[in-house]
Amino acid sequence: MSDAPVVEHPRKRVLGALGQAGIETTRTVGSAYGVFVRTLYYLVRGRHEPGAIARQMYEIGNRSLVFVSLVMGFVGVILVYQGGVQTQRVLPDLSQLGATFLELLVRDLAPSLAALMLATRVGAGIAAELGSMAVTEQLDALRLSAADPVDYLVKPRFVASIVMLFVLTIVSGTVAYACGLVGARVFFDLSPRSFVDSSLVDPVDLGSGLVKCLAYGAAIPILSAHAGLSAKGGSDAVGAATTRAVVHSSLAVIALDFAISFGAHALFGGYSR
Amino acid sequence: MSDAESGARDEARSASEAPLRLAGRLALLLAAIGRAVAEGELDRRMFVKSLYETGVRSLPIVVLTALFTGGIMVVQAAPIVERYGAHGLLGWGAGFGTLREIGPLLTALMISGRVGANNTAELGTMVVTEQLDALRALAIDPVGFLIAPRFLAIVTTLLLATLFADALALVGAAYVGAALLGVDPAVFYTGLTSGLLGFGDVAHGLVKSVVFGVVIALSSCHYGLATTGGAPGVGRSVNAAVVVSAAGVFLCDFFVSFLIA
Amino acid sequence: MISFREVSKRFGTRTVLDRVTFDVPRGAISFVIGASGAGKSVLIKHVTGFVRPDAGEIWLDDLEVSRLGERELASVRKRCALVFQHATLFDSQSCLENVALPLEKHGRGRTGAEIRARARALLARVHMEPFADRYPSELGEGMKKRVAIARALALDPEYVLFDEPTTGLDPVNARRVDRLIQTLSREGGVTSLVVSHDLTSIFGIADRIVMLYKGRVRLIGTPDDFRQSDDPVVRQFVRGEAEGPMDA
Ligand SMILES: Nc1ncnc2c1ncn2[C@@H]1O[C@H](COP(=O)(O)OP(=O)(O)O)[C@@H](O)[C@H]1O
Ligand SMILES: [Mg+2]
Repeated sequence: MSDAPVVEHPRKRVLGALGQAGIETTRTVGSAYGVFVRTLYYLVRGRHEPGAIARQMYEIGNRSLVFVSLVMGFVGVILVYQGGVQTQRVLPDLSQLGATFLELLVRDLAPSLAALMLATRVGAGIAAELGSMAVTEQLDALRLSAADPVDYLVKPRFVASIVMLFVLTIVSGTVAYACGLVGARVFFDLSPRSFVDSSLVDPVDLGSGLVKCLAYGAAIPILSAHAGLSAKGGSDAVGAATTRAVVHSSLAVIALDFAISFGAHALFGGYSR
Repeated sequence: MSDAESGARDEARSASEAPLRLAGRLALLLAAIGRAVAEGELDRRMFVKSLYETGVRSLPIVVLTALFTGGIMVVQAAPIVERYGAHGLLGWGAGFGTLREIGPLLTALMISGRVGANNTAELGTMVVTEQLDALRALAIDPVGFLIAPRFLAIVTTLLLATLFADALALVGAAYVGAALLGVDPAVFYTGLTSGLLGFGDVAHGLVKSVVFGVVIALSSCHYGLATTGGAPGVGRSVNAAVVVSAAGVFLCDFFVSFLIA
Repeated sequence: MISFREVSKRFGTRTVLDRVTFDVPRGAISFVIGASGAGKSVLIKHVTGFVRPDAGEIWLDDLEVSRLGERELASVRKRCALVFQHATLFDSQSCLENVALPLEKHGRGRTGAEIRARARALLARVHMEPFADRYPSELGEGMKKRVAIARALALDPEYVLFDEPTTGLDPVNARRVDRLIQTLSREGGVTSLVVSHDLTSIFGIADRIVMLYKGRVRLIGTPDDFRQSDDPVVRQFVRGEAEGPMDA
């Protein structure tokens, strides 16, 4: 190794990294939007292939169900514990703990955490699979036979992901709530009867939870497929595509979470009590 | 198509590799790293280089994640705080969740996706192109030269990133609180510092971030080193690494929360 | 001297080496030849401990290499360099840095300037000095291979194992590599074990040739022995004929 400058001036690199990230984000959103539009087009005009969708539902849903439910179970216990300990610092009793936890689960935690895990588990999988096909020229073979990879490969994953995220959210949210209930009993001696309380869940909470499911379920397969389809080059290309898929879909989940939560509160905040 | 599908099956098999055996492998890797460091085999220059690269790579994503996290925490804390009419508690409400749980967790997940995945891809590529064997052929210990520097760089970066993300998230939360609820940022900061939250809450999060860093660094190095089967193999390794990292982070969050409570 | 004694190796159900026995005498240039997939790369990787035999022993002078652990192998690898079949340069480092790395890690040179000067001299031996500051991704396969040879020579090894050093090189550079191998053993006393199916190299510089066929040693001898052999497999190989008893 020579002492020739291997790296540019640090300040330039840091600012450059931020600027680069901004440009890259804009460009990615732009071309991923193209994939999204084509997916919607093929939903209406494309081939009908219930078999492929079912297979993807199995891949995306059943494979993730245990993973996501397990993690959400642990998360349920931790959140009840941390929330309870903190609430005890300001409030005399924990009678609202269960109701508040349910409200938070419905409007945010269940869809968002399930989606973050789906972004990792499924986003990486989609990108690795499509990326491998891209670098081994299987995609070009598809195109040569006049089949758009978006129709054949992206559309089934798109539909499956939206459907399965709803299922995952409901199942893993239920697991989290059940585990939280056990946690509340063990740590704070709260009876299940006082913990199970849906009085704080209103239509706005339900609505924003559902909108989040839909938005995440659509964003994850599109961004991941986009990362995989645009893989070019050798053995590092598939790895890079997989990395991009995880990062882009996780960031999308967090950004959409903020946007939808903010929007719901700004529009219907007065209604929600 | 059938290639890719059997690939996905292999990936699932390696990701669901018997958890105990995986834990054993990770422990052995950790021991090897510890031994390399203890015996002075750590290549300092590679460490500085890795640290710099992980840092630069993480910065944009940590900034974005932190700002969104702050915003989300305020929006979620808002109804609870409004219910009790206690705007002075908004800083506390958004603060404890951020410091103890969401800050360390989201920062770890994002760095796992960005840096951990990248590390697996780089190591995996080096393995399938025999660059790792080339190091051994030159009598250079790959653990001291490549693995230990990357491991330490990831752990250090995650710790610093969490500290930075905590601060940034709370600043973001203060301004979202002002925009959404009309709570003056000064009131927000008072809520943060009024004594309900202390250094313990920050430390709680930082201890977790070190544990998360170890989990992410170990699994990303392990899957990189275990790569076989060319370019698709690298993709499968990255996939397995991020899944195991995420599961490991959540599991450790559970145990560490109670251990240091 | 490198000795293979009854070395056998299987991958799964496929027997790649079957009781292979031969010696590589000091100072000479020995060739291992055989069809692609015959197990030549697997064979020489046994010498530096990258592959472990299922049965048999490999000796390097008075060390039984096949018994050594990874740490003890480090000292073997300093004495016995391996040039991989595919150039395995580190992507993130320039050619000069690639060659300087072993010098640095093993303290061959007191100052950075001294190390760089040595690395440049090594690159000059393979005619790659003008490309010292290029990165591997900017070079063709043949150029990378020459840099990999320079890197392998960095620690002044007594033994050098070359895995197909001329494959992928143009004829001019292939002969330059041949001459380099010759110079190393004639003037530097280096023992070379070369895996090859480049007939020009084989009959140009080999002192001894070992032919592997179906996992077994088919013939050991001088180039003349090979030219005069009436074994149909050997004849087909050394004449490069399409028709004959060898499997496709
Ligand atoms: N690590 C390995 N695992 C399984 N099979 C291997 C491995 N390394 C080599 N082989 C197989 O051993 C045989 C000989 O390979 P090799 O020594 O590379 O042949 P060559 O004579 O062309 O150098 C090939 O069939 C190859 O597929
Ligand atoms: Mg070979």
